[in-house]
Amino acid sequence: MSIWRSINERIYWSLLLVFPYGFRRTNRDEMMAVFRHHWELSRFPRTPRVWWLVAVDAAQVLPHEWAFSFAELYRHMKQTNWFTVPAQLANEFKFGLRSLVRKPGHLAIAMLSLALGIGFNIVIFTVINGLVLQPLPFNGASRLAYVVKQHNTEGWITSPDREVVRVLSEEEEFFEVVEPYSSSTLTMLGGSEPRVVFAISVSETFMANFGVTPLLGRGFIPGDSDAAETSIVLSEHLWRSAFGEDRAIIGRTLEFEGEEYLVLGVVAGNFRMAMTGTPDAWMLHGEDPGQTAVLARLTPGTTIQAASSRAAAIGAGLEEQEGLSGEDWTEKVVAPPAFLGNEFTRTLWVLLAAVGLVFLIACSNLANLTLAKGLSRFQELGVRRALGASRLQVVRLFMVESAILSVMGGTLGLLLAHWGLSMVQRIRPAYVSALDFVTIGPRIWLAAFGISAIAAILFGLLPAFRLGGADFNPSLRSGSRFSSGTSGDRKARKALVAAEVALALPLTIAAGLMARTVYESTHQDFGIALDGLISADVPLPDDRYGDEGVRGAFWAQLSDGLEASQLIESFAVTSFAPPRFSILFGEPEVENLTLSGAAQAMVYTIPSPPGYLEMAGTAVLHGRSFVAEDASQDVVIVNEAFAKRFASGADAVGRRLKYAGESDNRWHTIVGVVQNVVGTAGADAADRIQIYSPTTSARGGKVLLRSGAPIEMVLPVLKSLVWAIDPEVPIRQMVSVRKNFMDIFGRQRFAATLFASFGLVGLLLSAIGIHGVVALSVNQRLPELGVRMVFGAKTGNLARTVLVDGLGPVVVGAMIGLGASVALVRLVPEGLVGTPHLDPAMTTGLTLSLLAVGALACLGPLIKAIRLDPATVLRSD
Amino acid sequence: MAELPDLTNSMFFILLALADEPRHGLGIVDEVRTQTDGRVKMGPALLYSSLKRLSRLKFVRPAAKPTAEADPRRKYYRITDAGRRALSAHGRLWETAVEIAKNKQALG
Repeated sequence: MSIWRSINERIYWSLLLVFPYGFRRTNRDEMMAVFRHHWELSRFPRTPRVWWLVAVDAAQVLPHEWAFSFAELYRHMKQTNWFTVPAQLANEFKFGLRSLVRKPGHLAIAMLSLALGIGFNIVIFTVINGLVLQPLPFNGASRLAYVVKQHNTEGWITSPDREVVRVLSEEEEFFEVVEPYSSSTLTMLGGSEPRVVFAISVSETFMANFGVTPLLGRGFIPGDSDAAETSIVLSEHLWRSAFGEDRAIIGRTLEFEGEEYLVLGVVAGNFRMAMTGTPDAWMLHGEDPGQTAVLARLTPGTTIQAASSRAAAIGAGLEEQEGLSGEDWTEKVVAPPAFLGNEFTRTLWVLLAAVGLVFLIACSNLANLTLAKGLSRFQELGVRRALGASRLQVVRLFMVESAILSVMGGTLGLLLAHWGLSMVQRIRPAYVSALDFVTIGPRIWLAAFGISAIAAILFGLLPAFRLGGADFNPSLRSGSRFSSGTSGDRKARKALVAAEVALALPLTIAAGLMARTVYESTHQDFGIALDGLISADVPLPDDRYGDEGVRGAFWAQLSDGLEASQLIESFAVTSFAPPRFSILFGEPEVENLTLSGAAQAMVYTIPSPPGYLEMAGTAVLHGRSFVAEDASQDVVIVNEAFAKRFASGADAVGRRLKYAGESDNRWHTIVGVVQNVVGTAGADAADRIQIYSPTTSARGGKVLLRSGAPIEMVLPVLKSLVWAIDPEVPIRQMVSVRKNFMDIFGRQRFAATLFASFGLVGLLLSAIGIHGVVALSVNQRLPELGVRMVFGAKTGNLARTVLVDGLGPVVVGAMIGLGASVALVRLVPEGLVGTPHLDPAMTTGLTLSLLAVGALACLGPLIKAIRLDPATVLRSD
Repeated sequence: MAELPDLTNSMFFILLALADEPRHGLGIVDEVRTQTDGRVKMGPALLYSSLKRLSRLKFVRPAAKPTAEADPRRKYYRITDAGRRALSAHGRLWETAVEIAKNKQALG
């Protein structure tokens, strides 16, 4: 029965928390005694009797005691002379500052922990806020949505049919505004050299409908499309970069692709469109917007789901009526962030979680530090309490220090965040260009200081509460300079170190896994020899090069020039630069062959002028490469994946295939099989069918070059060659093909780089924590160690004592961290980590290096212990 | 009668328990219990809340430990002169009340 009694006693003990602090503090021991007394004397049934008594008892007393407690507080506040508070605070501030500065090591570590924890969080949060959370800069942004058409099984997104859009815009119950727009790249003349601008074409009501505000001049208004002159609105950044902020630009005419455009205005800010990025210029589209994105604003109260099902219904209805595109596609309404790509958004959330771990590590460091600091000030606080300082005053002392620390840490954190954001922008995946326009605004400033203050106050108060009410008599009496806390405190500090290690290890392991995935992806055989391969965009303006013969003449002339150049080893004129290929929906049909397995919904077709394969370095495995005569023949070359799917190996050569769809109904003879080339879909599409077709280079647009010289030297050569033929043809995006291939893995590389830096910082912070604990424990044990030395303990024994003390929690933390890693790796989205299981060699390696870091952190205190002079230690206590 | 202090039942019984000798909290509960044959049971919170109020009214005050072997952790209380006056005033009031009740045969 005594176990049952002690359980009840414990329950009563914790229930005492309902009483005000003062009452509880003075009486709780005796109240427990009375409780026990009642328990012993109660008749059967004891438990309900006692608890009934206790409940009635508490109900009688509680209101009175709380009223009393508040009355006391009120009296205290009334008695406070508020005029002296500023002076007191100033005094405390001075004192706090002095006590912080007195221990510069502690101050530096606390600030660094706060700053790192906060800085990283600000960076990632800013990115998420700017890209995902913050609405687009439009009127009624929270109700914005895109109307799209999505493939039911593959998830591809494309523009909805024009007819569907027209019907939707009449659905006033669901949609306030439906505005299709299209984007295009145009060549702008008039600057120092031809320049390609990214323009979007909108209706004349678009700007008014969505609240696009002009910085200079005006935006489009109804009637503009009927005006005599075609007009254009520039974006702020084009105006700044190309026209040097010239205010006289309004009313000038600019030439785009041979047409004159009147500049109406400049629109403010970095105006971003979720689907198409940031436009350089805005134009009007006519009746037919062309290939479109459809931006809509829903009516208030309409949910995305409701609008989406309405759109799907309309789409399905129209399909039946008019036989529009097949049943595989569904019209949908989606929120703008979805366009960032779910994978990138998910990556960002994972990064936020990771950075949250870093923050936790920083916090436990802070707690550890303040605990240690509080302990070393035990005596000082004891004197203060003895001289009549109230508990509140002691707590306030800690609070002031925390406040100072939080402001300093917050400031440093913000500086770090500004630097970190620019680093993040530098390593961003190429396709997330909107990231460049993300900035750390005043609201995030406030949040930073808020978080900083919460962290500092929370962890500043922890020791304040532990020490504020502690019994200082023993420490005053003993007068020992070694007194530093109870065994409970030491345990708490060790637990904190273990927690830090347990948090840091999964971060490090995740970083390692990601780094390995990125390494493997970027060092695989791409199917193309990347060394010295350069691609350049040479788009021929349609107005003068609409005719195939004219284009052919241009490319022939350019080819002669390239051939003559010393710098360029080989070249090809084509219309797609790897890893980007033309996409064809549907699998080809092979003559006299039925196929097993699921059909591929998408195949790559690669225009391949004679010599292209040799120049790209793609190996021919079976059959032959293209020759000049093939251009007029119906022949193709396929890749290994095709050969595997349709016929085994060499059997593919000689078979005939027909493309899916209606556009090309001829049979094409397979003349060769080449190795797979990695495409933009990366490893996800390693088995995608690729079909090379021979072309003359009439269409062109991309020039592939191979040269031993760097791009900076090749570019002027190409420029002079092109502009010798036609000075109004632009050259853009001259990049190494290697960079384009690396960009495929941009997201993974981005995540891996950030994870690696988080892991490193986590390790660093843990090392600091370990060092602190070991140093303190060595300090505490100096007399003991001294005595041991006197009695002949070997240096090795002392070292072992210190190491066990320091590394114990590290080992425990590492074990917990390993367990957590096994569990967590499964949660990380696929594609971030190549194989969703731990690689034993790497995991062991990383764990060992973490232990090594821990051992390194013990080194300083260890040396101190070994070099100990027992006589000095014993004399001084 | 005019200065009759405002005593709750539990405060009255505490003063009553302290009337002969100083006691600690548990001793008070015990004394009240035995004297009333277990009819008045005082809960821990009510006991210390009432003691606090009595201390503020200066009716009880902390007392030295009565014997050397007494538990040093226990706080002892003793009744003050003001406490005695209040107790007897209240006692007389109850006496009167009981008499009236008997006359009216209200006690059954």
